[in-house]
Amino acid sequence: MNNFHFKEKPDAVIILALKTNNPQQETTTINSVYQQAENLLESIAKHQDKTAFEQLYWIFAPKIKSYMKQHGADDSLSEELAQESLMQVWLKADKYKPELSQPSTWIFRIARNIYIDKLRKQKCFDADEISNFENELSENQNYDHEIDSQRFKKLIKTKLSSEQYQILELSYFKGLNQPEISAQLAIPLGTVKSRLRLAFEKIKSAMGGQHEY
Amino acid sequence: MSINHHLNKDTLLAYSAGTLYEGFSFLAKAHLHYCKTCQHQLDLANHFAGNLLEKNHDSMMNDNSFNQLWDKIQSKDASSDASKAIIKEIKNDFSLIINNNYDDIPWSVLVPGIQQYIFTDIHCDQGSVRLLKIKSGIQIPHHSHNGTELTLILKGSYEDESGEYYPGDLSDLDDSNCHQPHVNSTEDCICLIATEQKLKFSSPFNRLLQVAVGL
Ligand SMILES: [Zn+2]
Repeated sequence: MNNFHFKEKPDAVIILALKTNNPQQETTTINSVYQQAENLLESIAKHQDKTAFEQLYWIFAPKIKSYMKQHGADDSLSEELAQESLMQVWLKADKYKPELSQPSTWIFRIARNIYIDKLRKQKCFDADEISNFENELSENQNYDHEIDSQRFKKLIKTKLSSEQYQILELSYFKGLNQPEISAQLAIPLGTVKSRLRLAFEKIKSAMGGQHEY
Repeated sequence: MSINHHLNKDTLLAYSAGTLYEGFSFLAKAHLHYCKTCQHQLDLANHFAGNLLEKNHDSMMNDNSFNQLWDKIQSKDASSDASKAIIKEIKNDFSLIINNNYDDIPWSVLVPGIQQYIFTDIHCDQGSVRLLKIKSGIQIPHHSHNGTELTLILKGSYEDESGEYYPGDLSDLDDSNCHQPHVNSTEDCICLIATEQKLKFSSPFNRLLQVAVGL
């Protein structure tokens, strides 16, 4: 039986609630969050700016907490792991290179490695590698946040089939490996692999515009 | 290093999502160390995932959530972690692979012509992560796999039905592939192999051999 409930595909315009020190909540579009997160990370790296860190915390910690819950952690553990992820952000902010990746990608890798380390209890991902291993090998890429965000929305809305999106969601948000996805959806392992490969091609053609291969 | 054989895209996505089985992650990481092509592809997958995270819904946090974390950061016990010791072991294993110190490895004889070293710190269920040092000219008996088998060439070369493999090349085979690798370099071939299940040898004699050596 399929007991997962899949989320609706996201809306074209994503509005994030941005909690700040100001008790009055302010809303802003995703693009300015990218820009803002970049500035916040810079302030943290350069000045150990607590206010900037707190702002960044309220942008990402609630999303990471959801991510941990989606991977099966209970509420209090999810909160703890979200805190731990943001602690890594604080400790490694000086390693973040805006020319190599957008903040959410960098923070995703931190959260994912915490998930692997604490929930999957694997040892082959190490938080220390995040900044000095993966980034080191990347070519210089300049992201245009606005174009990038448009591409992502288009990819999700029109390029990926619902089957492909579902399988990516099971991988990224439920943490299911290929045999588990195969059992979950009652489809052969080979079909899981080929769907993932097709999904990757879509991601590549939609998001790879600013990369050279 | 010119690399012609890469991680499958589904393996890369699994690596990015963090769902790849531990032994394969170790090997994938080693290939990524050498391979810019796969590194770029991984960057793309991570980039996609960053966007997914960004549009993830918010969970309700405790009111004092941030202050709690801030106190922890101030109290300096931030980086104390019991798993650090094990991570250090894995790091040693990793540098063993990428630093070419293959002479220092405590090899043991698997069968005449083949020596091995098993990474015992990496959790592998029924499979294993091991280094094999195979003498020039040796042919591994014809076999397929119950699950996936990843092989990364570190030194020397071999060829099988799918082509020639040189240092940095990675063979990403699932249970539908059957192969018979043959070392064609004049020097020994050293490769890193990760499996999730035991191999399936085609002939009964080789299955006996398998029982004897534990492949
Ligand atoms: Zn590659």
